[in-house]
Amino acid sequence: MLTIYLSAIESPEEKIRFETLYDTYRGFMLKIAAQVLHGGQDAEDAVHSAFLSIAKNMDVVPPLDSPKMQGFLYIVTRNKAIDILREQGRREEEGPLEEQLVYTSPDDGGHLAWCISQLPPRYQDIILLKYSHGYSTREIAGLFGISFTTASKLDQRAKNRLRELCEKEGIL
Amino acid sequence: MIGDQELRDAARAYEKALLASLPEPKDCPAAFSPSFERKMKKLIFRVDHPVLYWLSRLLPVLLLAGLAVVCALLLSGRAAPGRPLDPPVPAADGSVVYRPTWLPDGYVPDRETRYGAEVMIVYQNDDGGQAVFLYTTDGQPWSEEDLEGGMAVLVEDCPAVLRLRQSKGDLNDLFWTDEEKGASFWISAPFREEDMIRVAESVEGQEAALVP
Repeated sequence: MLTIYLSAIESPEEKIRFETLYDTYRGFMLKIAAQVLHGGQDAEDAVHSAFLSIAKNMDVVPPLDSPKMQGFLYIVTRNKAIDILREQGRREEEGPLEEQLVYTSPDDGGHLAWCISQLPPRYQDIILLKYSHGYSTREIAGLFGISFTTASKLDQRAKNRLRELCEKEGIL
Repeated sequence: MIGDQELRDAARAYEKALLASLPEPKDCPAAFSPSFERKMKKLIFRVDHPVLYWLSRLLPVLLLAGLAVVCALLLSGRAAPGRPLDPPVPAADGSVVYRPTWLPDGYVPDRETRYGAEVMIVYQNDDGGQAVFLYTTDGQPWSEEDLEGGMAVLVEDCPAVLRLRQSKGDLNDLFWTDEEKGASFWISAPFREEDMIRVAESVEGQEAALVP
């Protein structure tokens, strides 16, 4: 891990990228963390944790001008905020966060997209990173700070839950 | 069955809607506490001056790591499992899929998916029990974190690590790396120890394509 960290931060381009990311997106990331943790010190801790994870994984961070960047930061920050919820023993949401509901009915964005929106945030995060951003399970494990097997199991559970939701909605 | 392309399209559509519901980054004020700013300055210092930063920390970390390795070797009497793989040799037609050729009664294939260098095959029985067979040809061994808490076993001649369930409902995990096949394998299933190994030893490369 130490080697990965050192290799990740040795390039001057990546240093500039990291600082630009910090300057441009920290307010946005705080807003995301505050949605999950309802503000305060915890939200700041989630943002800090997200930047730590980003510094360790600079090789998989999208380019600064990529349209994927905002979504990537959204997912990483929300994931770190959920980690803080779990560490504090606060109940993890069984469904989507109320503040993050974007569809009012299955007809809004397509039935499968609606089913994804109904998943708990942790399951949404892995589905989005893997299927919207194209990350491998190993890369996701690095970003989330979990083992490959834990990430694989999370992916498997997310897809099982999605399938159940789709069956309930009559999509499958 | 949800197809991979269908899932990709839906995930992108959902992410787009999710982001559209949020303000633009330029409209989000960065109002942080002084303690956060201090922590971030430290992190940015790490990024800007990695050698200085790590030199101050490397020595104690290495000493501790060395001590931990010596203790682990003394306690276990064996080397830590896992070693780097040689890069996998691609099959001529690129269509070989590894699968177990034996499974305990009742388990049948449910779905097979390939994602980059990973292939995952899920088996299910009538009671809803699931077994997952996964392998990756990305050339990386299982990490020590993956193997934590497991015991050393053999899958044919390959060193493997078996982690038995800690509580009811958990699955047993078996990890091994087969350099000849150029892949690292993992079975996660509710099978008994001897059946886990029997399933692993039955794995064969087959030319048949994945069954979605």
